[in-house]
Amino acid sequence: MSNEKSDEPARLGNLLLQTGVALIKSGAGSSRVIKNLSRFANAYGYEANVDLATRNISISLHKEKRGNIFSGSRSIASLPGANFRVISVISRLSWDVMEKKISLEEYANVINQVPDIPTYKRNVILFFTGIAGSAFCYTFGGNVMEMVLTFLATVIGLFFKQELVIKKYNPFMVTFGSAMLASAVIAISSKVLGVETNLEHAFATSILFLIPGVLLINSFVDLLDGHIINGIDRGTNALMHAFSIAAGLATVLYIFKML
Amino acid sequence: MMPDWLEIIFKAFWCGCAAIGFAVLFNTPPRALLAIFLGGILAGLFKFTVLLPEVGGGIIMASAAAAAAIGFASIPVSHWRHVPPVVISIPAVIPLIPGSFAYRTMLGLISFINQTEAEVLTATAHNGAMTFFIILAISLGVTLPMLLFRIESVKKVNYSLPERWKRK
Repeated sequence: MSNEKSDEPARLGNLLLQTGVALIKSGAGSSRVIKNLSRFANAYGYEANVDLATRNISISLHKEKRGNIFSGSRSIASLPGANFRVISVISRLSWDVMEKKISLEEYANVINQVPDIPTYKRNVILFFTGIAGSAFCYTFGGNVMEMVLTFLATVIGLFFKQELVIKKYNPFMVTFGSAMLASAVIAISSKVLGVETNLEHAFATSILFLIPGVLLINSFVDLLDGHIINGIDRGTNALMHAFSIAAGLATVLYIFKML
Repeated sequence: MMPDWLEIIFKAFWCGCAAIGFAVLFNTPPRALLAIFLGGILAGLFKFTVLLPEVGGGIIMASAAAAAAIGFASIPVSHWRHVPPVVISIPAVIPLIPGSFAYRTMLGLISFINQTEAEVLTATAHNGAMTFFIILAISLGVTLPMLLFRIESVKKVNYSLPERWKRK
C-alpha cells in the first residue's frame, strides 16, 4: 500500500504526458493543453508545470511546498492533425476527474483507449468533404457545373491524400501531390469542355479541402494567448502547407499552359 | 434574379454544408454535427447580411461579426452537447476562411515568375493583407468570449441575468 502511494506521482506524470501528446496530436491549442493538464494534476492534489511545443512536451509535478517530485518529457513523431473526438473525450475526462474524483486506474483506462477512438467511415468522409467543396464553390459564386466538378476533384484529391497518409509520406509532399491531382481534374475537364468555359471558381475551391484551417486559427489563438513561439510555429507550418498547395497548382497550370 | 434575403439564406445553407463537411473531416463526435450545421448557417447569415450594401460592412467586419456570433453561441451549445466549445466553433468558422483571397495571393506570387508589372505586386499584396486580416478577425471573433469574460472554463458561464437584477 505504501509502495503504491509513493509511485503515484510517477504514474500520474506518465499519464499526463500521454494525455498531452494525444491533445497536441489532435490539434488542440496551447492554452487548452495546459488548462486540461493542470485540471488533471490539481484534481489529484499536484501542481503541473507544462512546457510544450509542436513536437515535444515536458511536464514537472509539484506538491505544495515540497520540491519537484516528477519530471518527464516526450517527443512527438508526427506533426499535429485534427481529431476533435479525442479532444472532447479528454475534456470530458478532465471534468470527471475533477468532479467525480475517479481513480488513477480509471483515468489510465480511458487514456489507453484514445488510439482506438473510431473515425468516420472513409466513404462518409469523402462524401461530406466533397459536399463541403461544392458548398464553397457556391458561396464563391460558382454555377452548378462548377459545383459538380469541385465535388469530383475534392473526392479524388482527398482519396489520394488518404492513400499517401497511410503510406506515411512527408505531410507537405502529401499536400503538394493532392493539390496537383485535384487541380488536374479541373484542368482536364476544362480541356474536355472547351476553352470558352471559365472554371476559375472550380480551380479556387477544388483545393480548399487542403487549407490547414485548424492550424491557421490555432496559430492566431496561440499568438493572442501569448504563446508566441507556438503561434509562429503553427503559422509557419500552415504557410508551408499553403505554399505546397500553390506549388501543386502552379505545376498543373504550367503543364496545361494556363499560367 | 433572386431577392437579396433569399440569396443570403441559400448561401448560409451552403455555409452550413461546408461546416459539416469539415466537421466530418476533423472527426468531430456525431452528437455535435447538428450544432455545427446550425453554427455554419448562423455564420453565413451574419456574414452575408453585414456584406449587404445597405449595411455596408466590409468583408473583414463581416467575418469578425460572424465569428463572434459563433464564439458566443458555442458556449451554451457546448453545455447542451457536452463537448468543449472549440469542437463546435472551429468547424463552424471554416466557411469564413478567405479561400478566394488566399488563392489569388498564391496565383499572384506564382505570376511574379514571368510578370514584372507593379500592378501585379500591389494586387498580390492587397490579397495577402486581406487574407491575413480576415483570418485574424476570425480568430479574434472566436476567442472574444474568452477574452471578455476572463474565464478559465466555459462551464462557469451562463447568460442569465445576475441575481441582483432579477425581480424578487
